[in-house]
Amino acid sequence: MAVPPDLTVPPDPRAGFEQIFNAHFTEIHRYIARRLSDDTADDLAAEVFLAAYRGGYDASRGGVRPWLYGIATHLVARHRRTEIRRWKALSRAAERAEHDPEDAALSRVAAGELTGRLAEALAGLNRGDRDVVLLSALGELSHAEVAAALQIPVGTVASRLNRARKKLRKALGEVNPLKESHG
Amino acid sequence: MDELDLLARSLPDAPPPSAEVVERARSRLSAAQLSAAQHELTRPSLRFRPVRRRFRWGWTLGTAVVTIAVVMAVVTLVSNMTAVPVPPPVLAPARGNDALRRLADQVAKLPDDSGAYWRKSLVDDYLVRVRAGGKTFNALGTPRSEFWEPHDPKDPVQTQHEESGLRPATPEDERAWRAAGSPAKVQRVCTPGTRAADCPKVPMGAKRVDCRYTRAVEPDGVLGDRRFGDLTMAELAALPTDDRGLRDWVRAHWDLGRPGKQTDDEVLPRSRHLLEMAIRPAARAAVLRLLADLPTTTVRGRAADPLGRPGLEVDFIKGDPSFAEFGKDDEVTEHHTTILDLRTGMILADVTAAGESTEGLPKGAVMRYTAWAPGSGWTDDRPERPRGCRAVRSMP
Repeated sequence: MAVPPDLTVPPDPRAGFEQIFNAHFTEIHRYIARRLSDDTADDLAAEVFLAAYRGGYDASRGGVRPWLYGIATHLVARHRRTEIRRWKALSRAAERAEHDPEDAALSRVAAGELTGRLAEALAGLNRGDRDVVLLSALGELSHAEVAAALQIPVGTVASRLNRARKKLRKALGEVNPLKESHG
Repeated sequence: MDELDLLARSLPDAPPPSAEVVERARSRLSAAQLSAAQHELTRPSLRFRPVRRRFRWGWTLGTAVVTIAVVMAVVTLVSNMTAVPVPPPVLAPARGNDALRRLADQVAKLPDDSGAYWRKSLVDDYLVRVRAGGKTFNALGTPRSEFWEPHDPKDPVQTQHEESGLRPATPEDERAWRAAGSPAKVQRVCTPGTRAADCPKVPMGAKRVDCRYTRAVEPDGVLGDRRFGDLTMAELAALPTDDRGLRDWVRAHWDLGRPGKQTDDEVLPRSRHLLEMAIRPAARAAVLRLLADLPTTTVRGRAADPLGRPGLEVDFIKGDPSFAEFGKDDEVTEHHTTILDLRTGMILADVTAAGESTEGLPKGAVMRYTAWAPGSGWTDDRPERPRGCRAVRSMP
């Protein structure tokens, strides 16, 4: 999916908001759906834009995308247990699919051995590290954008990512991601 | 490909939102814009002021006005729940837990006390998020419990639990409830995905909705609180009062019936539960000293308990996070503290406060508490069968 162009110009709070909604609703929905579920995303993505509209935009805090992803991440944080359950369920599904390759439904969900390991590792990350990892991986935000989204220093983003990467690498164990073929 | 790319490619993708979902979101946004525009017509100076907008950026989930109202409501709630204003926390001295040791020294000098019954009369208030007539607000649940345990095992043990309807938590919440038409029942706000059967409507009002009690002789005199195994009053009275003896006792009794061997770090903080039991002042003093020496204990300072009684506030489980649901939020971090009586070292209240903010609940707001009501402790009074309560064989 193509990432919509960033809107770096401070929008008019009212007239510009329709443009922000049109440009970013789908990707924010996708980000939430990948962390929680499609159903939850239907409601939560709408809440992101309501909160964004009501909160007002301050260009000094960064671009529009980090702003929206930050609000979305804050709302996702209210559903931590749901998210952790999701990653654990995905891990179990991947494990079952591994042992029962004929289960096509599960195989679709758990694309491979790596999925289960990564999902399990995600469930084990602390909330701050998980947010940084998923904003980077799913939202494709840069270090600076993640920092703006979470309102933390860039150095903190780097250290959290570093710590999380180590855990992900450890979870991957013998599997070398550089050699793994996907898609 | 690095770990993050791998993650992005491996985790299941999500389909784009349906046109219906997009339109529904757009409609909600349009309604908010329309409402803001109308508000702007009447109070143009309140919106779009640069300074205010800068302030509003961030994690505000409603208008600044609403946010301030919510914060004020819960500040009111806290003071409402505590009956008297809680004094600002006093900074603990360098060896912060010395206050606990000094309290222990004082408790150790108290004479032994006894009576026909050990009575626990508990006030268990908790905050719950509810919705009615388009209004969402907080309400208070106020269950009451009574435990009567006899000194003489030939006397009956009696327990009682009573539930009333919810009441609005603050005057602000009361206004919201009244604006909704003062309904007799309100809908609990639950986390997404909760089955409807698990998220029922709940009654409002002071009327008692349930009361049950048990009354039976425990021939062996085994106490109802079995966290340290099957204990009798006589065994509690013989609790070691020296540090080593007490530690050994706690290790031996807490491990009973629990799988796997637990470490001292896990077991010794559990000695705080002894403070809820009928132990002699000398043993209570030993427990307080033991707790004061643990890294998991931090004295917060003097504070009033939720019933307005002065006490010493202590965190006995520092670094042991817990979580609870509140409204739509499925995991709010909690902070637990215990308020101890400044003279006897007995528990006045266990208080749970929000460790972070969520909708309707600012960080630091009291989420629930269990207060030991006046009259708790040893007494020569005897329990009477409560009127209007149904007798049951055991409490759920």
